[in-house]
Amino acid sequence: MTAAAPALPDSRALAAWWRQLAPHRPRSLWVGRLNLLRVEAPVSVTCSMHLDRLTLLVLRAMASNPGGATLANLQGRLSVDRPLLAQVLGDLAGSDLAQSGLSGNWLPTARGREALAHGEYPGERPERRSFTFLRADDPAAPPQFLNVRPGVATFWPAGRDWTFDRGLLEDCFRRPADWKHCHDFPIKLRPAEVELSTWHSVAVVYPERLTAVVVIAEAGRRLLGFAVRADGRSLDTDQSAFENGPGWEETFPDLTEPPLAEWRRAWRDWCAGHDIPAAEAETCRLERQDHRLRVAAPRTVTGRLQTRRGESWLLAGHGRCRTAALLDLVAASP
Amino acid sequence: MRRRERLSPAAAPAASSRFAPSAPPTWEEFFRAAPATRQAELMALARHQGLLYAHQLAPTGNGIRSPQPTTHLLADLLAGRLEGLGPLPPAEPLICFDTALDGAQRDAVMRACRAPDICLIEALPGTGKSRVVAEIVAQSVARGERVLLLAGVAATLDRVLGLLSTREDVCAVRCLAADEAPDSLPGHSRVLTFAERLRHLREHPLTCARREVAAAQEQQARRKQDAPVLDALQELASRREALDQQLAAHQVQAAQVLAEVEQEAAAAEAADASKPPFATVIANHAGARQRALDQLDRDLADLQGRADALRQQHQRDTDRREAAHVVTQAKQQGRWWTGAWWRATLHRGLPAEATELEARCQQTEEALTKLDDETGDLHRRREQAERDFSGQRATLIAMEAEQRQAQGSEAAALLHLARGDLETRWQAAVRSLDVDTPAPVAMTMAATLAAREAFRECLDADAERCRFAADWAAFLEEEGAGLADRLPKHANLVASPTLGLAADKHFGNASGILFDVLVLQDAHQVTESEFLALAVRGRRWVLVGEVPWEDAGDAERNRRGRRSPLRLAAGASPPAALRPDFFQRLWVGLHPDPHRLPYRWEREGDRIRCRLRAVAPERRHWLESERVADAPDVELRILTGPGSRPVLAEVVFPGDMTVARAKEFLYRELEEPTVEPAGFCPAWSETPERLTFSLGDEAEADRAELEPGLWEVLTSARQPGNGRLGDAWRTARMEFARAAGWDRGRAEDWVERRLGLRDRGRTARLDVPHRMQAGLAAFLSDLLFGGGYRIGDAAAAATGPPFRCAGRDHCSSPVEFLAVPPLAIDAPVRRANGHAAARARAARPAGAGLELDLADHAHRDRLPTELRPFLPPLGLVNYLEAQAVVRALEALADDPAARGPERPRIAVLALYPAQVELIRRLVRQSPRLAGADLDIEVDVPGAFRGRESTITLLSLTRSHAHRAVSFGDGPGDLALALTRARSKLVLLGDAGTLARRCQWDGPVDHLDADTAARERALIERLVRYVQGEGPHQQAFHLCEADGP
Repeated sequence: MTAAAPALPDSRALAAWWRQLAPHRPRSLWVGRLNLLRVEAPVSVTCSMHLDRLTLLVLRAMASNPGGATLANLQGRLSVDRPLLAQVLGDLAGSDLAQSGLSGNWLPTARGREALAHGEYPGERPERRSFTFLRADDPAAPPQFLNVRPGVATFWPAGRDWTFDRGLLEDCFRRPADWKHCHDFPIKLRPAEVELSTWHSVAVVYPERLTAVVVIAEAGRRLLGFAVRADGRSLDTDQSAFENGPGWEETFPDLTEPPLAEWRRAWRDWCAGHDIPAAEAETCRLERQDHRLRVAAPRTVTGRLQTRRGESWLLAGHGRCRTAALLDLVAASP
Repeated sequence: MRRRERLSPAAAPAASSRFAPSAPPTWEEFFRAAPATRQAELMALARHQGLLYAHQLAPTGNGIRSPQPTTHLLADLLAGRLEGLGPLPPAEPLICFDTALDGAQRDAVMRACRAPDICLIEALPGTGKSRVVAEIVAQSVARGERVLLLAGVAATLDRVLGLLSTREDVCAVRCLAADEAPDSLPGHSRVLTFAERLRHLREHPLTCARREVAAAQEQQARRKQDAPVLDALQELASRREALDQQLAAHQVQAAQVLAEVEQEAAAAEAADASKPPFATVIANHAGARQRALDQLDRDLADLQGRADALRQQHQRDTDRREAAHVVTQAKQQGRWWTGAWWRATLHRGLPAEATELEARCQQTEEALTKLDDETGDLHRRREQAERDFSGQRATLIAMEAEQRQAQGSEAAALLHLARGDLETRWQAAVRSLDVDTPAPVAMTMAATLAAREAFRECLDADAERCRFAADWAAFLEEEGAGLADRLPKHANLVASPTLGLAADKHFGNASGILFDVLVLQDAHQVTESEFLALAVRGRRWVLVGEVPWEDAGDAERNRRGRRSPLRLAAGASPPAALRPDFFQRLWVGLHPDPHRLPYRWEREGDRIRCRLRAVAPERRHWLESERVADAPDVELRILTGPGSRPVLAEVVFPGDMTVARAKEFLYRELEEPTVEPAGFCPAWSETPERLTFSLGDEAEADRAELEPGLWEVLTSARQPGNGRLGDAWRTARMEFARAAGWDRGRAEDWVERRLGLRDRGRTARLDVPHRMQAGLAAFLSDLLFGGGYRIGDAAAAATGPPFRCAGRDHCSSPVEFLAVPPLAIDAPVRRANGHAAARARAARPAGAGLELDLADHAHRDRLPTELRPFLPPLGLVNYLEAQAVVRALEALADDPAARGPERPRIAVLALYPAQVELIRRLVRQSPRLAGADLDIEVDVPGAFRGRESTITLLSLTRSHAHRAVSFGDGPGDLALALTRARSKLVLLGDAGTLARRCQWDGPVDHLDADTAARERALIERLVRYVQGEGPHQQAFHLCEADGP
């Protein structure tokens, strides 16, 4: 999988995003360039199926006669065209709500009686659903499920040197409810039991990419990801692109504090961009405090940066996720 | 999700709007747009990998993705590329709803249902296309598919809808073409129009629902009135049960009266006399008895005392007498040594005393005897007293019991009376119950309670009925329009004239409804571009078209194979997409027509000739003969034309060699299976022992073993033209023995390699005539379809129902030719030569000149004055022929067989509209026809497309005096007219004009050379019958029209 990675956001963008994300009270901020695999697969959706009025009334007409009712009986009672009625009955039979006996009498099934009593019944609806998996930087590591909101990631031609094990998706279906809850995996789904005989039964994997800002909220219990819009500067904070509960470390094991050396490197790079000699940059003392990188710099450095306007943010680390920190420049005590 | 939803575009994932422009298509989009081969590849890849990757959805070829797979497949098929056809799904047993379908029809249905993409059904007229289409529709609907049924001719469509009208699962909607009015449709189709269905859906259920609400409420109210009646019934039942209990008690009491009286009597006897009368009487009687008994007992006791005293006295006396007797006897016997002797001696008075004692004893005994007698008497008196008392007692008891029972009976009678009264009231109450209210089955509390329970259930049911009726009516009132909105969704059969669909408001192209199956009737009339516009509406297509008679009629051309798409494209002026031979081009590409094989076996004198290549008559002189070196009696004929390579064209075998051996010889030497097929539609069948590639269903006459385990089964068949049996040997089937290692794949490969035939399971041919009487079918088969109908010999010889039509007598020939003018033959000549003379006259190529051109005033003036204003200004008429038509109809009117409830439908066809108008006028003027109850319709052939009649009268009209003329718009029109009849076809025409037409070779009137040639060929075959030389002459009757 090779493709040009999107550019990392600049300091102004990071500052704006931090402000946008303030309602979530984040403790830290990461910027991730996520390689995803969107698996479009057939599933059965467990849902409550509602009966429309016509179907309900037909079922009721059928149930009102203990011995059932023939099509002719029902037609006589409802005065609806027989083929139309036959179609409704066919639909009822197809949904296992009614059945026709040997004598041609239609009777509600147990499921049909339940539906009649409650106006709805538990059912399963075959659908094609998309499941997103997050690829790790290590090609050997299996992708992790990450429920990315549809439409936020974009397709990218990932080449042909990658595979996906469909078993990963099936494993997700088998996971306990807690895991599904934490990883935002749809609860009311189960894999469709179909043979690969029609197009509908074929799963297709699309590579996608998402640049997102990841924050840890609720005292580390919740991970939120927000998509960076296509312009690379604005953040879609109306709705999170993905959310994970406790256990998000399984999906994002790399969301850790980079070593100070990484911050020093980032600081050096930043200083290089601000005409600070490397030697002076090296003399500064760096310290991480929450989302800040406290830099105690000599007065020569702080004096040079006096004209600096607005907040400065640094990105440290390597791999798909970089940690962002607000630069807090203070004059070092002599 | 149901199959229909599952497959519908609406249910598919949303389109790839979220993708960047370079994003791949959605899987469904891609799959649907891919050709069948690509689809199969992708499915195989998915099965192999378990899934597919986006990069594998890249388009193949030039990278341009077509949105319509339709274009792919059709383009491939029309170009002869059949690889795009997907594999057939496994065959499933098909149970036809129409059990009367024949084997070919069932096979056609099975193929149409099984084909995943396209199926072509080619049919001869009257072979049951409509029934097959109806069955295909019914099968598809039963599988949950939505069907779009299209036909070029509305009548065809309506016939199928008529056949489906009884299918409960078919929810059909009939779309109208722009020029169609609902009133013009047959009843069963009219009710299926969207407007009519909508109206029916909106109004009828609501009207009925309101009526039901009223009826339910009325019934509920009526039922509620029964509640007091049931209360009364319960009360009556309660009282009745009380009465019954009383009666039962009476019965028990009556049974116990005697015992009771006995008991009372006994008690009365024991107690004092303070008792009821009966007891007192009994007590009195008992007292008297007791007193008597006491007296008697006292007497007895007295007697007993006296007797006891006497017995004591007597005992003493007896003892003394015995003692005296001993002493006395000792004395008398002198036993002095005894004390007795001494006592007697000493007591001298003893003897006297003994005597006295003896006397006294006797007296005592006598007294005792007397006392005993008295005692006995007393005992008897006592017993008598007892008996007397018992008798009296019994009498008293019986009297008392009787009295009491009488009293009881009296009370019971009163109870019975009361019970009867209750029953009367009960019956009256039951009668007053509503007829639907369950009445108690018996006049008991249990039955009444059960009835009340049932009544409660009825009340509940009534309430539910009321509620349901109200809910249903409310639903219809509130959502009735919505019910109508369901119609497009629920309609699983949309039937439309081909030209009416696109603009249809509900099912037109704008609706975007994609049907599972598109069944196109009259496909032979549809152009490629028309079909492409229609094809996008169906996922798979079933095209049903007729065999073009001009092709079918040319048997030799059939054998060469029909016009190929390439030849058509090269030779015709309009673009291929606009030519109405689209169906034929598809058929040629898809159907493995065995008649394309060049081989032909026939007798040549006393030898057998196998034709390997067709040689035109003008090239036969280039045939060179050569003998086979090691078989000198086998002659090889080699075509050695200038500038061409010599080719072996014919092989002639000696007459004593069987065809089977000759075929084996040829296969051995040339490796060519020289198959001349017996049928048109090859098909595979399998048994555990063998695989059979059937080329016809005729019986086996011989067989040739071409290879180990491979037999060519031969049948003797009719020689076209003369119809003689046994002159030719055709191949009925190829048999491949599994034991010899043949399997389906190998056998199919052999057939494709050696014969160039591969049955792709997507074509079927209907050639068994069902509509027509067999003789008529045989005649038309020869006249139009080159023997294309499959008719048994016996069926072909059968005659139809006799109708008095053209001739004077009933004629059972299915085809009559009524010569107008009459063939002018003198009566003696007619008697002498019969029809031979008539045929000779018919052979004369000179028309009678009876036709009139209405545009020519001189001609127009020859018509009766009263008719002229009603005829069009232009056109051809033949007055005499029109009169002959009317006379033929009048003859039919006199025939009882043509009247009555099952009267035949008579079509009077004329090739020219003016002649149609003239015939209509004359029919109206005929008083005999006005009074007759005949079902007659007069029109041009085009108006009868897709329709049929029992009897067809065809006025050919043309009768030109001196030149060859065309007949109607073209030979197609003539063929259409000829194939409308079911039982009888009556042709009216000028035999001379027909014969004259046969002599002209080249364009005539408006017909170009090709069309004129086809018309001429048809007329030639007709004239052959007129001349008595037709292969099915027994079906043809030549008669002459009577004069007016």
